[in-house]
Amino acid sequence: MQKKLSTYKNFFLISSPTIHEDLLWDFSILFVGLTVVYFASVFFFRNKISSKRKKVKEKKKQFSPMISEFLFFESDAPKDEKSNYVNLKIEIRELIKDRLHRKVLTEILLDLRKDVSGETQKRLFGLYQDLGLHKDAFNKLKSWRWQIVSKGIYELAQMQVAESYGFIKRFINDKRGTIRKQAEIAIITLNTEGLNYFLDTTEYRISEWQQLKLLDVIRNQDDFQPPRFKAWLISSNKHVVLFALRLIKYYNQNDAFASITELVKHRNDQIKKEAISCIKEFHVQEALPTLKIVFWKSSVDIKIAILDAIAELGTPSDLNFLRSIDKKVSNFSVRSKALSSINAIAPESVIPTRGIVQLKGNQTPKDIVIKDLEDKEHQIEQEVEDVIEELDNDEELKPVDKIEEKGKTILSEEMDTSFDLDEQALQRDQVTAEEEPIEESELPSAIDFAKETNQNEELPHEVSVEENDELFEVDEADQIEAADINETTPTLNFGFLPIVVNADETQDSVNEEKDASLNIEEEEQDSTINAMYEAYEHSPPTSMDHPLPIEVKEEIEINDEFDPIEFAFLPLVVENETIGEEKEILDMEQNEPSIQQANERKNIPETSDLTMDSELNGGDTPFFDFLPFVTESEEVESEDAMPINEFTDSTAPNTEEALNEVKTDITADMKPKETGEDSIEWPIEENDMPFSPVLRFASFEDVEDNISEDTKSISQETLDILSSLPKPKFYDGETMITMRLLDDIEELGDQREIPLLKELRSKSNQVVIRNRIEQIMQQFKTREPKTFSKDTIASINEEFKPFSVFEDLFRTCDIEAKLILMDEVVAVGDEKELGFLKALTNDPDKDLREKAIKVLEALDSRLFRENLSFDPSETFITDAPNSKTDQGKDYNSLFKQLLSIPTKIIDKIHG
Amino acid sequence: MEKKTLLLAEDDELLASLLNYRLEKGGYNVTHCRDGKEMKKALSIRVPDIIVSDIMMPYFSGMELIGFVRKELNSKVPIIIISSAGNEENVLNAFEMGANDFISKPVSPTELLVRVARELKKT
Repeated sequence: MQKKLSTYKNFFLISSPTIHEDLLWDFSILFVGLTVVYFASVFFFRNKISSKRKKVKEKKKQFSPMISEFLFFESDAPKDEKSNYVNLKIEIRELIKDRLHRKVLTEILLDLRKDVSGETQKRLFGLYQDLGLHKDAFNKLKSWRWQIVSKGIYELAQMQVAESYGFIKRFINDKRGTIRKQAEIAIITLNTEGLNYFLDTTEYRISEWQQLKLLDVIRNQDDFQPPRFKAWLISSNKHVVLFALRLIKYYNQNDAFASITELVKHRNDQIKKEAISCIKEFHVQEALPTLKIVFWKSSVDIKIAILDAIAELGTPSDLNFLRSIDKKVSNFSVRSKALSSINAIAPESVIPTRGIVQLKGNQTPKDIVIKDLEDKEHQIEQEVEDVIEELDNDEELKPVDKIEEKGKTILSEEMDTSFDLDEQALQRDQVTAEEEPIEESELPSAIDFAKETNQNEELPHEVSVEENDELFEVDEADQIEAADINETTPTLNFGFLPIVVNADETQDSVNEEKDASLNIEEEEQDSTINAMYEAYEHSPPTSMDHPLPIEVKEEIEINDEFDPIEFAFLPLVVENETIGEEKEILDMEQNEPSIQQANERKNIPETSDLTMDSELNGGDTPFFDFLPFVTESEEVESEDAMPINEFTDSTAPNTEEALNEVKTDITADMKPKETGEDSIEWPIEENDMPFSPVLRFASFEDVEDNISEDTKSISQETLDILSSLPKPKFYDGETMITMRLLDDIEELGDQREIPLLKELRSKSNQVVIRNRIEQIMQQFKTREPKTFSKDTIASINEEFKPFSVFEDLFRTCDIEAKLILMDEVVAVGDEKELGFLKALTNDPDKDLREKAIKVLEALDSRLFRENLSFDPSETFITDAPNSKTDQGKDYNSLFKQLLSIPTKIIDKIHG
Repeated sequence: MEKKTLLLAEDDELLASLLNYRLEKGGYNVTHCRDGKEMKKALSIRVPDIIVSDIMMPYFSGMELIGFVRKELNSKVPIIIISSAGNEENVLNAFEMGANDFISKPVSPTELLVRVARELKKT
């Protein structure tokens, strides 16, 4: 109890803090107030937003039919529709004054742009710009807020506003990523040159996603002509290089192998990887050495990529490199890839070795005899041996490598090891070699051997040296075995081999020059192969039953310039009588192509026999390359024959057509036209008759006959027409002039010409003229006096005003030259220049104007002085008004006036 | 001549409005449904001469609709499907279900008109 009391002894010291109730209330009210404000604002804004959304939705509903109307309006619509369209236009013009409406319209058009295609989409773009909505987008570009600018760019790009390209491309290197990316897409969308500009100018990173988007834009562009992307492989922006590589791969632009190969050495792994991918894609074999060099200093990923490429492009010569990787590289993935690459190049080269149970060590109980198991063991052992043997045989590089690197063994020894033979077998082979012809399979293997030797020489030195030491670890064991065989077996005679020449010198070289240098060995080897081909080539024609005698080999002359690869046709062991002929043809082909061609032409009939022979022999001989010539000759013959057929065939319908044409032409010409009397033409004389269709006729006589018949048939008609035409009247010289004058008077004159006509009548003796004058006078009595209006005269004067040479010169001169020319006007000008100078006094140029006034005065005074020296009456006779004639009659007639007008004007009036 | 009736099922109102306008202008009597429910209701009242339907729609997809028309209504009315680009699988399914033709978005209204006319001609 005491304890309990002591526990609560100090209890009174603990007390709750004293908080004023008022303060609590104040806080409560504050928080409640804040909550109310918060919720009120949430409700307010929510309502505002939703009401705005509702409003926008309503507006969209309201505007969408209008937009549909605009999009599908056709100019040939009925009147009601047209009037409706006009009303809509007016309505929409009013609507777009409001900002919200413009926003809604933009939204509608942007939404529809995604959903529609074809002509409707094009109209949509047009409508967007017609409504001036693109101006809002342009304004957005000026905003300081990135989201607004980005939206503006997006709108302009989506609605294909081409003129915005110049504005948007400024944003390509904008520091704000969103704007930059939007601008990149926009300029590629808006202009076909946009991609070039972008790749040329961009300084920033192009993200993977952006690259995909850009590629998508490019892919969907109509008529996009991809540029040569290799141009950007040298860009200083590594992202551009990477993108260019991807585009090169995408568009299969295989014209940049050198650059791509060089990019394998790039320090950026992505570029390196992409370049390797391109190499693999385009099968760039030339890049293999570079790949091998780059391999050792690359990351694991790149190493795997390189190995992948080698697996795709590699040849057996690359196997050593791959094996060296297996030996040297510790990374499991790389080694695995290397092995898989080896198997990709040479399938089943690498067989499983790990986890394989050694069957030899397994002791089966003696009492249990499983025959099958024994057989299987035996079979497996045999298979393993076969595989090893195969590998030895396949990799014919080994002997040469060995010679190159170690110089210890010679070719013949290696050949010994490569063939597991006993003496009997060899002897047996020797016998059979004498009897059997050369096997086809032996020759290509020899060629391959030579080829692979060359390829091996091209391997990078440091790699091949390293590799060979390791690679021949196994081979050395083989060598020991081979050496054992050599020890046990007596010296072999290699004459049985069809490959090895049986000459004494060759045999000696094999035996004596074991320590000779590599070059000598190679030469011998080549010469051996050459000799073999030579032997085959120079062999006399033999049948399959009579193999090549060995003695022939001794007569072989080794030709150093001989290229065995050229004789790839050799495997065709076509052995019958035709060989001799074929060889002759081959010789001709090689030596004298012209003779060959001549022979081909000469032997055309024989070739068919040869063809038959070739067919009989399997038809697989290259000597019959000339055969197409036979076909050609046939074609030539047929071509020669064709034109005749063609001519006869084609002329048959054409003759009829041409005749019809001639007929219609003639009848059309002969027939009087329906247009009236004025249009009747004189009949065409025979000489003038168009006769071109005859050219298409088979024979000229046929056409003539046809035409003459037609002409006869219509001649009667023509005569009828001719009889109805007025007969021509011919006047002598003077009468004709008078008649023409009278015609003019009749056409232009009036009553005032009557005195003149009377005078002419009194002077004339000819009845025709007098009758004509009478006729005209009768006409004039009834006709109203004729007058020229002022305008007509002014226009005539304007048109035929005197021509100034200076005026023409002035057209091409500058002002300085004009001022100089004006001085010349004073010196050499005449009345014709007066008008021109007067016109110049109104020239806009002040200097010219002033100069013109001075020159005009000077010229005027000069002309005045000159005129004083002439008799004015001589110059101005006709111009004197109311002048009297000798007979005192008033000739101030219209005709007189006309005479004062230059002849040009009269011609003009006459038309 | 009496106008052919066409049932258009499209949830995008803007596109529906546009297609509706074009089809009506092309001489069809168009009934527009915003979703599968409306569509079923309209079909139970009267089967039109041709149906143009979007694949993706609220309540009932275009596929279900084809099944409804072919199996429940046992009707051979031509059905044209509107599908998004790259939705080949759906299109194949639609054909298997009994759709007659399809048109992919973005839609060319003129092309749709031609397809509708062709399908009606077949019937």
